[in-house]
Amino acid sequence: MSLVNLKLLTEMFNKIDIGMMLINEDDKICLWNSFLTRHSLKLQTDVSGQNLFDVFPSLPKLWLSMKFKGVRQLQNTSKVSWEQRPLLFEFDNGGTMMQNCSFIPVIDPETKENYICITIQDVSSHAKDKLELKEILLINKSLEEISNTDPLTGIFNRRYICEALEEQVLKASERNLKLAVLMFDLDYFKLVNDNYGHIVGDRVLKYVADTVCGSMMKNSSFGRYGGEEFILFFSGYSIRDVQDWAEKIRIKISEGAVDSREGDIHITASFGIAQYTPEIKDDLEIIHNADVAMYRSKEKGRNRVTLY
Amino acid sequence: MSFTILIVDDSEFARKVLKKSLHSFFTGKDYALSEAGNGEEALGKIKESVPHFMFLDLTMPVMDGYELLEELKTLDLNIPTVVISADIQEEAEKKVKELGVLGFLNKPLNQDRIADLLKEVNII
Amino acid sequence: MNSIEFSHEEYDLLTELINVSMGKSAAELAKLFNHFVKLKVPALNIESSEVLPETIIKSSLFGELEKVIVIQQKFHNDYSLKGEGAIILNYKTRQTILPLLELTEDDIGSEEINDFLLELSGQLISSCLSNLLMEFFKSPTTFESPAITSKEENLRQVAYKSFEFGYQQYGDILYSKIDFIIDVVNFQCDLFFFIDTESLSHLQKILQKILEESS
Repeated sequence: MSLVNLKLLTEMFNKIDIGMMLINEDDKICLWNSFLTRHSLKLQTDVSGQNLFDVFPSLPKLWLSMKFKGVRQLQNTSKVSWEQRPLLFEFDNGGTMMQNCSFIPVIDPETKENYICITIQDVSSHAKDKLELKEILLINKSLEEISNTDPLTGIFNRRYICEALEEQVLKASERNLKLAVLMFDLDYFKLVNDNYGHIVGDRVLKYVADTVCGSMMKNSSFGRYGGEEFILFFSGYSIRDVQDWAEKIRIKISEGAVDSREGDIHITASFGIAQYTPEIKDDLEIIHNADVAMYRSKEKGRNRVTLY
Repeated sequence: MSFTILIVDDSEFARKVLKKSLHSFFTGKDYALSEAGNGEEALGKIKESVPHFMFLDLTMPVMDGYELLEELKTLDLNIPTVVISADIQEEAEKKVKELGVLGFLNKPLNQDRIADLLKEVNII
Repeated sequence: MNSIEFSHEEYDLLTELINVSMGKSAAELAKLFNHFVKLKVPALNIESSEVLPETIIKSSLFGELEKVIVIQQKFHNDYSLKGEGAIILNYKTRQTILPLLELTEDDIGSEEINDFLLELSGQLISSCLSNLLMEFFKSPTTFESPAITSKEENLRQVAYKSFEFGYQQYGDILYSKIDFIIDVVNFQCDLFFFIDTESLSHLQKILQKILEESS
């Protein structure tokens, strides 16, 4: 610290384009920089020793007290973004300043007293851009919601396939029909993404979806459940038929390859099958059972089919 | 007749720790310990034979400490009691003191504090 | 399917340790609310996360088809502990906190309530755990920020979806359920803790050590 004196430090503290203050354990203000003076029209001498919640009466006291408690107790920095709360601190001279705030635990190295440093960053212009972008994204998202297919693979998306399955479970229970659910997950897919990149990863997903699509049986549906997990359901088939089919597909997937600049990529998958029984209440339960069977396949060494 | 002490706590571990401490305070003296895992069990033991002294936990399944104290009050049984609880809120202490307990100790148990309290109420 | 089993004494000790740390947490929270806080005896269990959905449905305060809010928070302590806490509450409970925040019925849609719930959950989970873990580990536990992971679904949907995080990450889990009540306002919620198989065996070793020392 020999090169920097207190005056210089204070100068920097006041020139910085971020609001900064320090409060003690009783929430009393100890330090207050010029940014805050400019926006609140209150001087350091006006607020020094005052309680933070008296200086900013509109602050949500209970919520913030809880936050402070967390900061002091766990000595973790806590952040509040403008998306969460656009206007935490209301300034007389601030207009509508969108803020990112941080609450940083600070301990006096000499006295060991506990303080919190509060920083307030004006992010109004950035927030405005982001809000516009958000609107565009929202429109895109609502478009996705009316769509029934997964854009990458072209097969059904999760929402649609789950809705369809829900209906099938209902039908199966009313008319005593056969129904089976199959889930499968690509083995070590994360490594593909890590080693070859996401573009190749996407091609692997597409390859798997295409392979399955080429061998579909009648009265079955196929969808992407999420990530590298896929789901199918079969109406009117015996569990044996579904098992045989799964075995065939498992081999087919493992025998094919996706070419890349680094050479052929081989992939395997772990399968789990669950059969509908009258005790099963809904799609959630039968998916869960298929999932359990699938994870048992993973546990047993992957690239296999397990019946729940 | 020996001095009878009833320990009421749902945790075996807590009872064990307390028994160990009591043993060291009462060595050479004529005393008898009995235990109960909740308020209801304690009530059964008390109805069989009223102990001279009781250590009581507050949060327990089936019947908790508060309920036992209320029940003893309606039965007009006045057993000198020390509450040992993980609940360190002042209000908990206030509540049980209103129900007539002699002392309140916080968990985890501190042997010195048990000794101090027992001296205070003239047990040792 | 359990690969780890706790003895009766180990369960008992862990329950007691959790009770003690919950007592501290209750006191800390009571100070904040100016109300008496009641934390009910935790139920502790170890089971395969395969049956987690049924367990959550069975042990929750809320009905299977009731719409609930779920807040989850992950934590870890170096390599010795990994897990998460989850708080479940219903919309009626959400409404009961309005007076605590000095809000009225008109503010029911307010973001402030969600913010508050996040903070409260974070406090509950971290204060309970840090009090407990202080007994076990020398290094501080890291808590990620809590997030609302569901607010449109019913308990059944939530329970089955929780499986997806459960099984993939945890295998066998220790789960502990705690009911948390703020007197006067009758705030009620479920608090579940999950820790993974590996953490379980670390925990067991520590419990065994304490038991040995106390005998």
